[in-house]
Amino acid sequence: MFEEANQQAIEKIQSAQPVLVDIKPAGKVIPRMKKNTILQAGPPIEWKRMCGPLRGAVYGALMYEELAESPEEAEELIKNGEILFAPCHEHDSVGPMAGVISASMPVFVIKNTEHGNLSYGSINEGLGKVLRFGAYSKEVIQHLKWMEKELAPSLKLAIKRSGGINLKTIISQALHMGDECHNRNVAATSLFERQIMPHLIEANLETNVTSRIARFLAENDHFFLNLSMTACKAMMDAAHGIENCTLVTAMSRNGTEFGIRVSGLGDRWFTAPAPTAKGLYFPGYGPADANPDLGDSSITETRGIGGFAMAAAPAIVKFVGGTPADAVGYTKEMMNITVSKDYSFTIPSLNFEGTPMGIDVIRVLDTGILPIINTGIAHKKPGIGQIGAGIVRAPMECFKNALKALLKK
Amino acid sequence: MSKRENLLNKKLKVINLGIETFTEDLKKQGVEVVHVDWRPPAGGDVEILKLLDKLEEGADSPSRNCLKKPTSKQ
Repeated sequence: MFEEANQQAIEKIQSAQPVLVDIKPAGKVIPRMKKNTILQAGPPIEWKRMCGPLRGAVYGALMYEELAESPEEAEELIKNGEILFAPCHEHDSVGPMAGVISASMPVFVIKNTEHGNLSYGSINEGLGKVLRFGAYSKEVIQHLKWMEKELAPSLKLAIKRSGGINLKTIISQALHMGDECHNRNVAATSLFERQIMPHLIEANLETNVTSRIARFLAENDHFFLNLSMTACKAMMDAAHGIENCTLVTAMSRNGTEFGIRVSGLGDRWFTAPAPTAKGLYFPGYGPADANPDLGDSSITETRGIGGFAMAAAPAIVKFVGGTPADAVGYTKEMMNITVSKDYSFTIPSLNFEGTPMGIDVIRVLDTGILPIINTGIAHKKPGIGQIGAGIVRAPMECFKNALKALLKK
Repeated sequence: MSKRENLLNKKLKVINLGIETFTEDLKKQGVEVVHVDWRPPAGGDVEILKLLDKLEEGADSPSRNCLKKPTSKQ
């Protein structure tokens, strides 16, 4: 019963073809998105339980939307019930860290051309003080406005000229170039730039506009992260809603709780307190400064890349800690809790073995092995930003609760 | 000579289940050792084991085949 359903899901995930087809304002393209909707990473959460970085990002989004002029005004709106909060995942979307998406923000539109479903994701802002880590200063808002007014329309033209960019091909190639496409996106970003740049130049924009965009892309090794995540979302959504399927279709965190969704258990979330990552900190910071884990980016691990493909990215241990042997060990360990191996995403150093794919709730519980996630570490106070990177495990409680729900069916 | 004394007077060949550092320590002492990466089912959580048993009673559960093989990190 389960095996047949799980196999059906694996076929859907494996055959999915995520293609970047457009960039549009979130409010015009994301289902059920209203002017006063704020999408957030992770499972549902109300304002009073939101962590510092998420609150900061919400302030920033409301000021960017010109619904509030200050954090105090933003808080007033929220307390009056005028803002609708919802998880990105429940709107076919994903966003890294705080994951905040508001109506005017431009989002990538990705079409799974094999099954027809669409997914949406925010555009990576770059490093430094950024909304996704809870920063909401004037510079952060100005940068978001630049992304809306100049970056997004220009990239949109280039994407249209390209006829669509297949992201699965880029991920597949990047895994052969030392990326795991979650915390390391150097190769994937370069491959994306190689595809988009001729179309951007041929769009005949003003030279200084093309120059600013080219520099922005060149200076951000993580630009592809949001594309990787949105591509994984399109692939995993294709496998959601299959009766009796025990595979996980989303793992995500809002900085307070960690949640999973399971294909055969509808749109319910199974949650537990969010763990804090173990890893390496930037100078001047330590574990006492860290916020519990945050972001939709663990959709990459759900798809079988990121932490699950660490064997492909030995250099990442300089960022998240450990040794290259540990990286290989993590990938092999994850093969115990997945039902299949990918034939599109392979690892050269493992004789081109496929990455572990299809996390099975039952296998996780049987083996006691918890999914591993490569993650960024945000400061617990809003506005400070990223303070490190590391590794975190999904909590057992989520899987236990999912099994209880399976037994009630 | 008892069986126990007999064992200690012969060259030891060890199969180590579970904790890998025991294998490393034995190797350092020149003992021939094979490591099996094994963990107790459900990480030893009795509540989870009971839930998994219930699931197995209610339906065929081929996913649980993983119980029968050792886990792997190597």
